Amino acid sequence: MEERVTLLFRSARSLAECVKQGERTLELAACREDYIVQNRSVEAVNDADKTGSVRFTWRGRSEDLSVVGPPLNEGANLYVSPEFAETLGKELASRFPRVDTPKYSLYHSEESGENILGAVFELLGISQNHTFDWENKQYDIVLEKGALRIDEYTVVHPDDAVPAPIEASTSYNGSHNFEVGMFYIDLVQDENVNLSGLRCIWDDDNKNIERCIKTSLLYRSAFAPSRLRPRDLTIDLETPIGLHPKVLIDLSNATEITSDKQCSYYMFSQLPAQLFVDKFQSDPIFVFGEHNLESPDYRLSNETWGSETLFELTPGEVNEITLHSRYVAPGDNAGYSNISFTPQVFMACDTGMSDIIENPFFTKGLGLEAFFTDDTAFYPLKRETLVAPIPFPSLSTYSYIEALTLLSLVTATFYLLYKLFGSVTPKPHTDNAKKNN
Amino acid sequence: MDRNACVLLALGGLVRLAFFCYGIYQDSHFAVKYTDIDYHVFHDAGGFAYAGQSPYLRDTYRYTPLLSWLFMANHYFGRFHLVKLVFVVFDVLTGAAILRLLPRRMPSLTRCKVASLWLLNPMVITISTRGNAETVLCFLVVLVVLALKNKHYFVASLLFGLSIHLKIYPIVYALPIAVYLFASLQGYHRYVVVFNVGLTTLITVLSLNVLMFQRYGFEFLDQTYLYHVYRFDHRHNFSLWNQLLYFDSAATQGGASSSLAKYAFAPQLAVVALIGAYFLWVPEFSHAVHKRSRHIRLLCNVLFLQTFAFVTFNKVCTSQYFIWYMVFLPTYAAGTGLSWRKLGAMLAVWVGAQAAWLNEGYRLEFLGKNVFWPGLFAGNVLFFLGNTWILGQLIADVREQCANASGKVKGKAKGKTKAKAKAAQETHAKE
Repeated sequence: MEERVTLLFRSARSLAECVKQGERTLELAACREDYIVQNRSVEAVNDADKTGSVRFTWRGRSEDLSVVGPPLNEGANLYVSPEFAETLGKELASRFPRVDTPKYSLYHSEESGENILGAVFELLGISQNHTFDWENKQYDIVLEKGALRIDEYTVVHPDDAVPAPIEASTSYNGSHNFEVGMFYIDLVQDENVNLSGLRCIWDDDNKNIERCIKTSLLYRSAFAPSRLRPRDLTIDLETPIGLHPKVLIDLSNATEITSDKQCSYYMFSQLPAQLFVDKFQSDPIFVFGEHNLESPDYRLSNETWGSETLFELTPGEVNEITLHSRYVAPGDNAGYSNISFTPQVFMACDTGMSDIIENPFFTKGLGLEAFFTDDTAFYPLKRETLVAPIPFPSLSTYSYIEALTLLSLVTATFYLLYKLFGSVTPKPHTDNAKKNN
Repeated sequence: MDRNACVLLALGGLVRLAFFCYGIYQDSHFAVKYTDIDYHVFHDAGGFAYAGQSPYLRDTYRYTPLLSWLFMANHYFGRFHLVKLVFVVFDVLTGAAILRLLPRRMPSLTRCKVASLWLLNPMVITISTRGNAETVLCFLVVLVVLALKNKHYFVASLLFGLSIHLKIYPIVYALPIAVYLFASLQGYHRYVVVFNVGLTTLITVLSLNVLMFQRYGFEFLDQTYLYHVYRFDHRHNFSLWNQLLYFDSAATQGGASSSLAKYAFAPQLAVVALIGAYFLWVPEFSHAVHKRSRHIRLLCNVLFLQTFAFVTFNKVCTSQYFIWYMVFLPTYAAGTGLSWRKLGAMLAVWVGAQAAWLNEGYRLEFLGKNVFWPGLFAGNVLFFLGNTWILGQLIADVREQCANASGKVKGKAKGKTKAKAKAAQETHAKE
């Protein structure tokens, strides 16, 4: 079992200020800048020969992990590769709504990932005693080649930073290696990242530091920090927002980036079942999941959580992507159902270098990156949580509507019966009638 | 066909061509497309059919495969807009058929004025040039009436069967057509004809359906017919039933529900059937059907009223349904006795009720306003009652004209029994 803690600071000064290095110990002190903690544990589980993978991600609070972590989608997402379909597919599908894509099956939940993750561990016969903090942390958990890797991410704000010693977790039994890395960003240029800092390795019983080594890391990151963000890139909903919310992505100033590389702009979004893309009217690269064009939300909510969609964008203009909303169930009072979703705008470039698939902190896996070639570098440019309000009527109006519908029908029917069977008195011809033979 | 009619048909064709061309221009230059969404559905389905696949692979394709076969032309020639031209041709041919149905004794110019209610009707022109397939159906329905007029009963049955296969609603015409045949023929012969027409229609519908079922299986039945049974059209439209259906479709969520909507078909069926059984309400029925040419126009009026009632009482109602009754507007207008003032009031109610609903619909759809109650529902009620009133006026007018015609002839006949006998002889001879 391996345990590794990585602390990423914005600057050398921050690193010096926030970490107090004793002779044999490390302690976190109060900080004036945020930093990111990646807590990784790798554990052998079973079936080292088994191909395919299972990946679970959780993102609660909307904070980017930058450099040490990949961008994660909101909520809980469980990606299951086809190789695991037999072990997991049927059982999970009976409990959680699923979306199938050519690369993976995806289970999704907006609430905590506890149920989904618990089910996966149970089905795979994995017992582990990690405690999860769904409120404050993000998770990227991968089961691959017989190893279970849990990456836990915490973004620590100056206010939250509590001075504490950095120690190995006590919850693991058996042999246990512990290592801590502390870095600051030296240089980021496109996908090239240069980190500098210190790595400390603990002794066998994980009580004291055995040695610390000055370390410099130079690697290519598949998700390059968004230093390239074009000026004035905005993601908005056109107002007024009707039943066909139109996402406006302003890429007017985005031409400058595509100079030397083969790059394209994209928008990716997971959509809850209440919103959908009409693949026949817009022109997405893909829509996986619920694309029924007619059903109301309440007819689908047991079968699906929604869809995933990817659009290519045109730089130098405002891109419009029209979504459609489903009717939502009436409520006790008339109101609006506020449906939120988070489109992500990014640029993807061919690099021709396949080593980009992996770096010391994370690996490309199941998820959006699975639809691109291995050598693709991603530049996350912007993500924005948008809210589309969908109006619904009040159940209290039902009895009026029923009564008035009935009244209208009865009135109309009797009126027509009267007109059909009432008496007719022939009138003298009017001018109009002279056409009649 | 006289010169005026030719000019009108040419004009109708040219106006449509102009709209057709404008549509191509708007599609390529503006974000809001001229082409109807359904046309894209047909076109895509045609693509599947052209590749030897099932047209039902296209989501929301809910029509007979025949229509997708027509759209194979788009793919064969690689022209997206091509079938629209076919629709335009059908549209103009419908106009020609309408001209044939109008009274022969009518002055040529008047006839053209009346026929222009179809040929130069902006609503009809827009619907067909946007690529809506309803005009094909309208053409078939008018052709059925024309075949009946010309006593081509076999052809009429085939066409009638085909039109029922295309869309189910013309099935309501079966009753008035049976009444027409029964009343316009004599003796034992009429039973044979009614039976034959019914049987041929039935065989046509069944064999087309069996053919399509064999080729496309259950999906054909499901998408073309069964869907209409289990569909729950909750999205806002003109129909009075709309909001009740919305509530009821969500009832599984613990909401309110009632059995009222389950009987939605009852008043619709009752009104449509009563209008169809026109021997019940046409005054002086025997006189009204005595002369064949007058009877065929009465049939047109009955079909007009029936369709108008069907659309007004339907569970779903959108503006493309209006074209179903508009095809009978010219024949109706040719014989109306309503004053201009009355006609103007009816038109105002027809337009006004639509505008009232559309205003609310726009606020919901595009402004996202919560107008379900009372605005949108009031719009639905207004539309329904307004159209019912119009229908009432139309019924009264048709009945009055029948009474008038008979009164006039009776009045004349009192002193001219000879002439009456002669006229009767002539009609017999014709038959």
